[in-house]
Amino acid sequence: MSEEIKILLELQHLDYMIKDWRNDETRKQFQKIGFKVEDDPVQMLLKKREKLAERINKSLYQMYERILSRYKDWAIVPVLNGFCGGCFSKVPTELSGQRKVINNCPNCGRFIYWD
Amino acid sequence: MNLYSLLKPERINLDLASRKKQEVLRELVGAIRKNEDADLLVSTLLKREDLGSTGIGKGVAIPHGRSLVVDKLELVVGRSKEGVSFDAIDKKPVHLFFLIVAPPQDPGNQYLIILGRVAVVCQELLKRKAYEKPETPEEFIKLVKEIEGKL
Ligand SMILES: [Zn+2]
Repeated sequence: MSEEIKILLELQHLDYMIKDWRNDETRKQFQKIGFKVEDDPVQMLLKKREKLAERINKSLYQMYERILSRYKDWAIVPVLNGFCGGCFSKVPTELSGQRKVINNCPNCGRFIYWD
Repeated sequence: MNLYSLLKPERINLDLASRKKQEVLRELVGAIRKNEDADLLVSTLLKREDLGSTGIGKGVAIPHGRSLVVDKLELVVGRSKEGVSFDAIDKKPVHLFFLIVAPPQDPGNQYLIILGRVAVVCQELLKRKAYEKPETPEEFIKLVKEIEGKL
C-alpha cells in the first residue's frame, strides 16, 4: 500500500470521526456513557485533519475533497473481489496490476485500493 | 440487542500481555485485523483517545471507532490482571476492555446502541469484580448472557 493511500485512508477515518462528533445524538450518547472529552473535539479533529492533509500533494487532497463532496459517504474504497467498494461496478483487470499507484474507479471516480 | 450474541470466543482475550495504551490497542485490534488494516485501526483509535481517554473509570475502557476495514460491527474483549495505564478519567489502571469497531455506514445506528449496551453491561461486570471470575472465553460469554438476562 502506498504512503498516499495510507494517508487518504487515515483522512477518511478522521472524517468518519468528525461526522460522529458533529452529530448531536451521537455526542449525547457519548456523554451518557461517561466519555470525557476536550471542550471542542471537532476543532481538535479538524486540526489533526489539516496536519494530515499537508502530508499529501495538494491536487490529490483537492481530488479527495471533490469526491467526498460529490458522494458524501466515502472517497476512497477497497476493491473487493474485483469490484469497486463504492459503486460495485467491475474494476478493469488492467488496473489491478498497478497496485502501487493510486487509481480512480473508472465508473464512479472514487479512489480505489487493493488490500 | 444482546451483546452476548455478538461475542466470539476467539475475540476474547482474558490475559492481555500489554501494559501500555498503544500496545494494548494493537493487541485488541489483532483479534480482528492484521497488517495494514490493523495499523489503520490503531491510528484511528489513538486519534479518538487524544480527544479524551475512553477509560471511563473503575478499571473499564471502551475504545471505539468506525472503519471501512470491517463490514459489520466487531467486538473484542480484553482483560488484564496487572492493569494497563490508559489515562483513564480516574487515573486508575484499566483491567477490562471492550473494543468496538463499526462500519461507517451503519443502518439503525447499531454502533451507538452497542456502545450504550456495553457501558451498562460493564457496570454489572464490575460488581464484586464479576469480570475476574471467568476462566475461559466461553465462561465470559455465559456471564454476559446471565447479566443481560437480568437487565
Ligand atoms: Zn466505483
